[in-house]
Amino acid sequence: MPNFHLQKNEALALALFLSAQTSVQEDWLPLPPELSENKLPSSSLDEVGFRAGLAKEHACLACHTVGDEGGEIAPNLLDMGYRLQPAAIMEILTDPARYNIQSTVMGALFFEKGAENYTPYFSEAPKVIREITSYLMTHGREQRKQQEQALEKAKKQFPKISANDGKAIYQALNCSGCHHHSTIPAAADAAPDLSISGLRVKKDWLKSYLAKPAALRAYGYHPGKGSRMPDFRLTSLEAADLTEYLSTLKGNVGLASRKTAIQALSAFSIAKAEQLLDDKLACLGCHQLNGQGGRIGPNLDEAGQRLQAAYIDMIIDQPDKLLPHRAMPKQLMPTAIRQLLVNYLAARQSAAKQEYPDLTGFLPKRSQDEGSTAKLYQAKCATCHGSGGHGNGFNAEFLPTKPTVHSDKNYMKRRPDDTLFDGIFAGGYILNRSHTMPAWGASLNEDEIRQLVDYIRELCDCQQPEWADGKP
Amino acid sequence: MGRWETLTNMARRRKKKATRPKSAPMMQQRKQQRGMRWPVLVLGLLSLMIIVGIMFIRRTSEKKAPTAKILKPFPSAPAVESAKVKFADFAGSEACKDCHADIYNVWKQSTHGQAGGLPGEVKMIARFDGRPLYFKDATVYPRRKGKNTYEFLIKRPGKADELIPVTAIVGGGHMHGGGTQSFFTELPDGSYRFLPFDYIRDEGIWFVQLRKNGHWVPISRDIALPDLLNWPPHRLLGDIAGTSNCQNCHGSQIITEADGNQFDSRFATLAINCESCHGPGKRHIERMRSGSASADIGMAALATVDKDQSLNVCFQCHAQKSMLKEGFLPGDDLESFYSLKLPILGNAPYLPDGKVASFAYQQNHLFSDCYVNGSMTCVDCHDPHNQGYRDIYGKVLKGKFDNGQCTGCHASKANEPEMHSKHKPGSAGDLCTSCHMPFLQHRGLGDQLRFARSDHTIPVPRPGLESAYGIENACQQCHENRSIDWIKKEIDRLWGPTKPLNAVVDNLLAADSVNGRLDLARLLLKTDQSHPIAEFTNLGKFVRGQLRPDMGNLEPEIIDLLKKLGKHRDQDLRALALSALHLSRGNDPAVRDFLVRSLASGDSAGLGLRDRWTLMIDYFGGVYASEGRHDVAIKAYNKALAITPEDAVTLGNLARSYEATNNLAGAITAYQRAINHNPQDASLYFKCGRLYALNNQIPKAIESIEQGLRYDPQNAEAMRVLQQLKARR
Repeated sequence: MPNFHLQKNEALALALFLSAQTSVQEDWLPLPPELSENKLPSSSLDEVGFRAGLAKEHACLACHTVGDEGGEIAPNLLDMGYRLQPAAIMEILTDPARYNIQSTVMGALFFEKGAENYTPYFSEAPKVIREITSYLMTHGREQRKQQEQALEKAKKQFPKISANDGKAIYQALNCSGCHHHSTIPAAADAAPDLSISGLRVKKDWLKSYLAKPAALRAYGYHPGKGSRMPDFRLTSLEAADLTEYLSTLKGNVGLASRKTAIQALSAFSIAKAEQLLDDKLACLGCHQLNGQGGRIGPNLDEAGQRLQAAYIDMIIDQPDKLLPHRAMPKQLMPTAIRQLLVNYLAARQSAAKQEYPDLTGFLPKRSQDEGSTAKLYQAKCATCHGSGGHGNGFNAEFLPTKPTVHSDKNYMKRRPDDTLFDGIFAGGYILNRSHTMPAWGASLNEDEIRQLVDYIRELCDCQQPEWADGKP
Repeated sequence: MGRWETLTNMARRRKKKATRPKSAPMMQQRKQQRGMRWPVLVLGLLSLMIIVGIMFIRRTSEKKAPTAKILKPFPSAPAVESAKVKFADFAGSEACKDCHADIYNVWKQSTHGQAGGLPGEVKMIARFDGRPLYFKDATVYPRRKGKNTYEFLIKRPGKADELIPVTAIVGGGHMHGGGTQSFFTELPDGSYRFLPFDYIRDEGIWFVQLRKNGHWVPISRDIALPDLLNWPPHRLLGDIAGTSNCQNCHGSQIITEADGNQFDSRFATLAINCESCHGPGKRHIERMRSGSASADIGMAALATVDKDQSLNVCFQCHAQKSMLKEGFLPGDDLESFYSLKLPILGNAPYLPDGKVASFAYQQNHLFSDCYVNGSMTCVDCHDPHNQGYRDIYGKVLKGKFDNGQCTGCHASKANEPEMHSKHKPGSAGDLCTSCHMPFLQHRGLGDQLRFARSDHTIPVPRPGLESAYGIENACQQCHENRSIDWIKKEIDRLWGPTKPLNAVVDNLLAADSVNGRLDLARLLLKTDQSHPIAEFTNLGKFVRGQLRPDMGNLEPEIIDLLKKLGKHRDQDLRALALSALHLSRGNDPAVRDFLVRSLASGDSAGLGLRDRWTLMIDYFGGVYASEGRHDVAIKAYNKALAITPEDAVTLGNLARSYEATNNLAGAITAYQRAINHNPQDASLYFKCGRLYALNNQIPKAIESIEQGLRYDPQNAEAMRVLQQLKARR
């Protein structure tokens, strides 16, 4: 289980959510009635006796550790006292397949699963299960108490955190990517395409990153969704091996044929590039550079250290080919300007330090409108304009100018639909507004932009001025 | 010494009396303090009441007009001279060719590269074939003497033949809406003067400009040479205050300086060269050749400048301007040397919505929505090197009528433009420019010769309004035989209600039906409107119609509005507002305080506030003088002189108004002041001498003229007058 860099409140949220997951599956058979918590005897065994009993009669120690002895492929049974509830222990012993979805390594040693019920393999089976369970519950009392106290303390410290926050975090971190959940599926396209790693990232950087992942896209691969690269605690040897393998993957998106020659820029050209980025280009609306800029895309200070030159060139020129979810809108520009930018970014070699933001602070808690235009707005616009168009998206605080408030009826009713279309298509600069609003016209088609205009009209609950209708 | 000080002293004295105990020193009085306490309290209370009373009196006295006028004097101009570009800083286009050959070659073939030059440098389109041009009193023969020698032979009955050589050529008939070619001759006094005989490409004829109305007309036998605006040749190449000139636009780095009665004319070329836009290049060449690695390469990257800076590169020439000070060269801050809006007050070059009313340039782009609510600069459409056309992403377009110029920003109209244009796809009416940038005749030139330029206000067509102004509308350029009524009905049928005018322009039009100064002020002086050139027009109208020098009173709300405008970011608007306050209520101490502070901060910003202020008040003085209200004009001129005491033009205007009111002594003093500041200007001595003579001060008159002749010894008129005066003595 890798490290997701969770803060206390985030962990609390997840805990509240997970402990609310009590659904019973339809195809589960009822457990034998003798295996109820009320019927647990008090245990008089000690560790040695317990081990001896298990070893003599059952195969548990082949896989499980008990204290210092036993197999190493299954958890230490003495931890179960504070990890699992007694009912759960009995459940697993009765029907191991119930929770090991993909591969049932743990054998059913006590009951045979029939069509309608469980039949014991031997008459003492229920009694043995009860004895094992009650013994295991004698361990871990201290830890259990500490855990309960920690939970209470966390609840008091964060009274507003709810299971809903936890559900949002569960989805953001894509827990279903490894764990099974019957109603929340794993997310597809949750992270960058590794099949082009060999042409995308630089080997040295990749090796150090895998050994110690840091926040690259602090608000998530899909901006605002909150996904994080977990820390798998790889050793440097493991990281090196993985890097070697990933570097062989070149994919088939046109990167291989792209020849990008990098030139060192003069001080003048560097100053020119920085001025264009500050005043005219939309890049810093999403990306950070030299201490300012948005948090939608990765930090550009380390672009040259992290990415290969051809990739930098192609992602500015054809972002839709490299990012299938179209997060980065293509900005049309003269070739000379793109070359200037590529040379500039290829020379950015400082290490960026971003912190993951509090997931409870920006993930949407209410369920979102499921229409396709609403989804489009949430994905592309809400990051700055806010999910309700109130100008308060998570990225808004990093912008030099506050984003237009789409929900402001008084303002929006003075803007023609065509003006909104033009602004989305060609960006904020041509409307004498902020250059940090990018041009979407080369990434969204006309219908999508028209639908977004209609959606904005829903947000403001208004229409364009009468003269703009173009109707007699 | 004011009332406040004396009251304070009184208070201090009273306070001292009140708190000084009559009895023995304090130390001995410890025992008696209890007994002393009560009187001390009363006295303390009394002093408090006195202090409060003083504060109360002081506050109420501020509201009444003070009996003594304590007017702060205006600060004099700071001595610091900001960095100035010099002629020697320029290297010439040939020097750019070495490293920037591709751009150079492209530029050389462009209209800028072919904009003018010496004979042989540019193509001659005018007919110097010796065929006579018949005037009422003369016959003019444009002749070619050699490969690159051209001249005008002027024959007048009873007079000697006059031969005027063509020293320089300006233009090549490049412009789509009507192109011309003009000529300059160099005079013995060192100046280059504009010749009155022009050639127009489309009509293929020679033409002239009439003095009486400025119209361009074909040459005919009912025109005499004195009828020509430019005869004898007087308009000089270069920009000198107080002279008729062509400014410094028809060429590159034109610097003309007057030296007595001689002129020093210098220019790099009569084409528009690289440095005209990029600024002086010598330092850049030095830095690059020295292998410097600094970010400062001696030249700014024009791709990084903001909207207004970009426009000002072009507005150096493509704008009517009022000169604030002489000597502008590319690289200097344009608006420290010129006001781009002041011509609105004088020549009225624009209609209320910005369309060209007389003769102007493309700076009326400042009225376009694309500028006011967009980011449009000249180079968004015009390639500055090859003068071709492109879209905002740099993609090359086929020509000046390509819709791509517009649809880069107006993407909503890119596909199926006929949905918006309501004209057949592929037809002329389906082009954006047909309706939104029609070629309009410059009305100041009359309508006999076609000289039209596309309307850079890029307006929504409003044929009703346009015909009310008496100008062409876009529709009738194709639909020639349709009436305005028919057109208006069609517009209503096809497009429904028209987009409202910009609010500031609307207010100007609405002002005509509003009475009452306060209501007009509320309409015309709104702040935070984001349309500086229209706001300037509105303010100008208000000042012209509602304010007078030294008005008895002015509504506080109006003063507040003017003060707000007096803090505006836009230099012209700010200066006009401050001039208006100065003109109308400059003698009110509170207003004066504000004006003094504003002038001081304007000086430290160094953006030409002082120059604008002087020029604007002087302009209003001129308006009053032209109406015969010389006493009012004198007040205005004196206010202008309070800001710039040494302004020779204003002093001359002042003198003229004094003379018109028979105050010869005042006029003479004005000229003497002017002479003090400009001791080498012969004309001032001559004018002063004339006044001395009128005032019967013959010896002084003679002395003045003799002094003038020292600086202009060849002046025949002055010598004749001197003889007459000496004879009278």
